Amino acid sequence: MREYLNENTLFATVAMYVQETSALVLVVEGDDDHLVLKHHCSSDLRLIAGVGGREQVLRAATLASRRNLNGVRFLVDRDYDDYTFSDNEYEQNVCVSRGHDLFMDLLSGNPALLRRVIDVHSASVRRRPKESHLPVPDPTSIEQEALELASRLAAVRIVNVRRNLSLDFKRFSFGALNVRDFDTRVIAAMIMERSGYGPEQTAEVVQDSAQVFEEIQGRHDATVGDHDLFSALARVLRRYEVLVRDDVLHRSFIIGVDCAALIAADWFREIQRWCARNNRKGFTCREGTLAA
Amino acid sequence: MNQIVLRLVTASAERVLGEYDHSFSIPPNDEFVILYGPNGVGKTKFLEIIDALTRLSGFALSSLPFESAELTYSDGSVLSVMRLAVSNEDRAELAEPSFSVRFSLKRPGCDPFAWDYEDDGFNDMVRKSLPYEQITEFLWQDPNDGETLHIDELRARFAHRIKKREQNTPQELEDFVKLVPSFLIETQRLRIEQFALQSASSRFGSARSSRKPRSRITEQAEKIRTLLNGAQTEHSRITQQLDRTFPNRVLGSTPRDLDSDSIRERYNSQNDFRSRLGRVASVALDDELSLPQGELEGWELKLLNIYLDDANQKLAPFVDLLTKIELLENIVNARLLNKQLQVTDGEGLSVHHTATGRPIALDSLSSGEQHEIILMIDLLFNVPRGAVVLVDEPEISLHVVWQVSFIPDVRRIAELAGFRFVVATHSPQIINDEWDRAIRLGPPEAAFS
Repeated sequence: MREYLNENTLFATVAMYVQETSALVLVVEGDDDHLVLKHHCSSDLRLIAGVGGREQVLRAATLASRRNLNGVRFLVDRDYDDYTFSDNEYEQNVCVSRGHDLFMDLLSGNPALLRRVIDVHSASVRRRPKESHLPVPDPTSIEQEALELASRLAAVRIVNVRRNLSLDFKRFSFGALNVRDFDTRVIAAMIMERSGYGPEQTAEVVQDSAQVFEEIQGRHDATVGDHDLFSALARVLRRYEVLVRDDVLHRSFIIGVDCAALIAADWFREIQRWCARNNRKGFTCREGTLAA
Repeated sequence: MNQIVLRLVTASAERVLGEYDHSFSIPPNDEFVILYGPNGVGKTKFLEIIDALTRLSGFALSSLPFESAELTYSDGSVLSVMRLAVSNEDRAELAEPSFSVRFSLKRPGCDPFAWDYEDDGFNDMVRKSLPYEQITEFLWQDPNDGETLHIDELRARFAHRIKKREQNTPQELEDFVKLVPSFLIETQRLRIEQFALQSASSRFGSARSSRKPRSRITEQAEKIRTLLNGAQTEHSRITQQLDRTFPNRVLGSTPRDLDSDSIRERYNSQNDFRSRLGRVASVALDDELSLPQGELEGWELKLLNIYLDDANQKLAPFVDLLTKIELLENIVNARLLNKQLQVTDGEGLSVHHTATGRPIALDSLSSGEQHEIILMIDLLFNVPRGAVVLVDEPEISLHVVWQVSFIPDVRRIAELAGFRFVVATHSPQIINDEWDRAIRLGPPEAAFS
């Protein structure tokens, strides 16, 4: 059914809602963003989740802007917009994540969040170590290992965007990757092969990806996507016999999101200012609060 | 008779439900407008007011909650109505206030004209003194025994109980509203509206009538069957007339500038039409004649030309009808899941399971399917050419996929059937990419930045 809901129906839904309510409306990309934010919204700020992804939300924002629909903001992930060499101009009613996506912004806003998730899920294995298993490192080390692994895939994604390759990333999974293959070149080669590219172009992309990986070192929040991070984290944890699925890690992170993480995000403050200009409360989090 | 039909340009109503002023305009070269707004602002009432005004239904307008309304048309004509409270001492005992209705008509180059419709109190009398309850605008039912009577029947029986007499609508207004037809499609499209009035031998005598409901979809099937049978009758009449004079016309015809290619083209086109028609109507069609190869002789061209002219006339009663039937099948069959709708002159409408061919009773279709079929048939076959169609909440019972297709489908029908339309909706999917034609009805919006 989702294919029959488009930017026009999303815009019409938002417009019909905004016109009949005294609340402001924040449109987010999907269910996960909705889940994170809904417990932190006052009754002055209503959330609507788009169903067609970022591009649909952005097109609906353009329709709203052209038709002068006030009372609504559209919150989207930046993704790899900064790497496309194109002049990405967002409508004035669009709030964009500073990093790759909203989750990465929350992660950088409160780094302790992900470490708590790792700690909770690895605790039982850490308490009962087995000789045959690798010792479980501390959560910070695991986090760094996961971020580095996810960055290797991020490098390939950036090359994909820059070269407009339309690579099929769905056919790649960290779960099937051996530890010895935690390597940008290996990952790039696998994705190229599974996307039907020949050896010549593969060699170029492999080389390019390795170079990009070096360039983006230390800029995880801007380059790593949340889904890649949780997939990489699940794979790294499995290395230490901590068996937990990526979606479970993702959910755990959502549960843990607190006001400290939200308040640190640029888009959060931008939305709060917009709500204040309209004499509305917006989010319930306030500076200095720990939880909503 | 071809009658000039005026196009509705603007419509407005003041103090709908006592507090809302509504209006919209349809640009002269546009086909439709969409109305939306919150519940409780009188979108449905607005449509009902427009419909009742174009039907000069003083009775309906007297009971609708508004103060005044005005419709302007493409030639500058303005038809308006005011609803005025009546102070009547004779009816002071009635709990609800009574209203009279003043119609006004201004036509370019003519003196303005006004007419007061005053409720004669008959309905109030029925409500107060008789056991009947109103179930539609015109039908009343006695809940004790189910007897259903049309308002005219009630008047015939009980008009002597009231003092005032019913007024006749002035001819000037009657003539005008024939130029501005409207057609209201209500939300309750499946409601049983048809009542077969049958004489019943009961203690109530022959005037007593029993209520025999028929579903709307069955009625629509019957309507299609009647249209096809009517076309067949007309076809037979024309055929008899033309066949009688055919030899004389052949012998008396004068040579014309004819060529084989154009004759063959017309011949093939007619054969295509016959094969399409043969699928829905069992009309006696001439066997296909294979034309001789090569260049046709002069006498052959002359004969075939008259034959083709005649055939055109014979098939004419089916042309519009078949186009509409094919569009109906096309639209409905694109929606139905594992079912196929077919129009035939025997049953009117029939539905079969696509895989097994098993017939499916019309009444057993889902409410959404019935809604869709009834609506499309109404639009294709029941709307007068040039009318403004008022569709209230078409989204009811429709899956979102059907909702998204609704406006494009109705536009196709409107182009063929020659009407314009107004849709009142709560559905973003109905509006879809037509937001620029959507007009909000309701209180002022909150001002946001």
